[in-house]
Amino acid sequence: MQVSAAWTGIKIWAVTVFFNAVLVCIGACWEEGIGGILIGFGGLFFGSLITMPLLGLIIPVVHLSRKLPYDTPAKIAWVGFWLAMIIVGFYAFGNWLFDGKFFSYDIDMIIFNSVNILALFLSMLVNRGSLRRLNEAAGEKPMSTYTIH
Amino acid sequence: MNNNSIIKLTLVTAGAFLFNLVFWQEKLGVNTLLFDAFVLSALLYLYPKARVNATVWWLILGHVLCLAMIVAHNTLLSKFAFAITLLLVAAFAEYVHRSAWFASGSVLLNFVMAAASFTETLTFKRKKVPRKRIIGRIIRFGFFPLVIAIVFLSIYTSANEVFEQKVYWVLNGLEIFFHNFFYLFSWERILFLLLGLFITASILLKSRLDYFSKKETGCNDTLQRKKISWRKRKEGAFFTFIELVMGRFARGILALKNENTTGIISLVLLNLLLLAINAIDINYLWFNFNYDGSTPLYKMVHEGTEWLILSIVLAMAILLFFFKGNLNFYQKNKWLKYGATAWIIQNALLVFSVWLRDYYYIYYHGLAYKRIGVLFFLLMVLVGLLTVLAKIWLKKTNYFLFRVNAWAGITILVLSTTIHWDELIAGYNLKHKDSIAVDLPFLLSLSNKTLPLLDKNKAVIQQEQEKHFYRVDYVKLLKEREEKFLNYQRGLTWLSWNYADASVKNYLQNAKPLTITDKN
Repeated sequence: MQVSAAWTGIKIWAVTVFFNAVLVCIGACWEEGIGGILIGFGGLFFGSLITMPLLGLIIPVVHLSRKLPYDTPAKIAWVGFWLAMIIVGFYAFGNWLFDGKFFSYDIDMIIFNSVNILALFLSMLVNRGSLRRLNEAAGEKPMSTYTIH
Repeated sequence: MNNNSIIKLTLVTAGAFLFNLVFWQEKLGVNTLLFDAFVLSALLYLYPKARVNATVWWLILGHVLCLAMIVAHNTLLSKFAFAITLLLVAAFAEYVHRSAWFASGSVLLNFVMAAASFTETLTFKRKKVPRKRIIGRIIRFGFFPLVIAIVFLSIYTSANEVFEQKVYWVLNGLEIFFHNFFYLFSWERILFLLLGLFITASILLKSRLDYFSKKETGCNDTLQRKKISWRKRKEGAFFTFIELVMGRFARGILALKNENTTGIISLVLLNLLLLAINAIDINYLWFNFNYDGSTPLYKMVHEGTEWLILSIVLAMAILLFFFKGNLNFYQKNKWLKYGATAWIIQNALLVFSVWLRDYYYIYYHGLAYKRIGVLFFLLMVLVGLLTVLAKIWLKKTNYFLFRVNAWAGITILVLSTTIHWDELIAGYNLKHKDSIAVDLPFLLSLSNKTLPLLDKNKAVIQQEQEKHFYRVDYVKLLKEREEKFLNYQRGLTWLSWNYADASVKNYLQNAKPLTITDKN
């Protein structure tokens, strides 16, 4: 199957939102009981709605990773790192909108941010195959062709 | 994983742990010395060519001076210069560079690619046999059963009270376990470790993208004449602009001569204009300056300085515009060069006039950050004017101009760290309290190093406060700051030791009984 950067980016985003909703659901069930399932569904709906504009950043990052002169695992780690940075930036932007400053020490927000990054991590693990295929389609050079610095 | 990767991995990991160990809940002090010694040794070990690179050693010299100033003065400026010089040392050790601008680009790429560079050191050689996707399988096969189990667990706990108690007993145990775990290894500390890993990896690991290094190989210091076809020349934005201004005079065999004539006329006019300005300044500012206090001095300095600085920067840009292309090689450009030289000399005189304005401002109103900043800026402008002169007469490129000016900037930055500016400002302003108005809110906003000096001048603060009817009690504010400083110092260990803080702490601890007696 032909894979594109846009499709891979959308997959990573969708799976992250899904895992995030599930993790929120687990946390909410722990705290609130059975009503947590509804919170999970709410998270899935609102999460996908709010984070959809981030696709404008996620797809270019995935696209750019194909052009990097690194082997596939390094490229995948690079994508993961910058997507995590996008999440942190997203929170900082939200904080700036509502609180007037980029970072404030709020333990709930830190936990929620960590849950997002955990969801992203899981999504990256699930989508490793797609990212590998994407890089193979871009004609990745074998490791031996690079000079070791 | 090859041997080189193992060494890199070990050094980066060790650096991250050292960063975590020495900087966690500490301020920059002796700990910087420890971390820096490790990073510099690691850089010289990983990139042996750096050991024979003179630029690297000059940079290390400047860097060590900044490091010494962190331990001695502990100013924000010394910390900033320390970071800049460390990044430049890394860039020059890892890549082939001559310009600090391109080196900054390379080090920026190191930061952008840090995650990929670090993962590469972890990568094992790929085996041909298909790998078992153990983690993927666990996620795919274990995830949904786990979710369903959690949902039903919630339902059963709501339905059965005994079951609920048993579940909560297990959950409580887990909660206590995680609480204890994160008490030992807090989230913040783990994040701090990751920050250390990111910083160390960015400094020590060279990115595979050597874009800026390759770009710089095509740059030369000396201008070289290149034949560009008329068709290609016409496509350029520069020609379009010239054609827009000069019309048909920009085309044909005499185009260069016309350009030269326009340049000479422009420079004659600009020189005459500047001569008038300089004559006024020399007459009124240099020799007949008489401040009677009726006109606000800040207006002359603030507005005058800003416009004059803008005019000098613009002057350099205009000269770069005239000496951009073929005019550098035009045989009859002698008068254009003379005009440019005269203008540069006149601009240097203007720099002196701005310096005088700043001097008078300092003389009548005391020292402040911006007033000192203007002095440094003027120094940079003088260097800029000199390099523009060199560019014109020695046929140098813009690359040369920016390269030399960047090195001048770095040298000035490093040397400026050797002075504790806050202490100098406070000392000067208090010493000249009879001739200048002491700005109490400003004095009390200076760094902690000024606390002993302010403490010794409590009587002056009290006097000024009463004289100017300040609503805030600045003596009380000073006492609060002293207490806050001592409280903060109690939370630090020997890792944060620096001479500036130690001397203030020593003074305040010894002076405390005296101040109490004074109060009584």
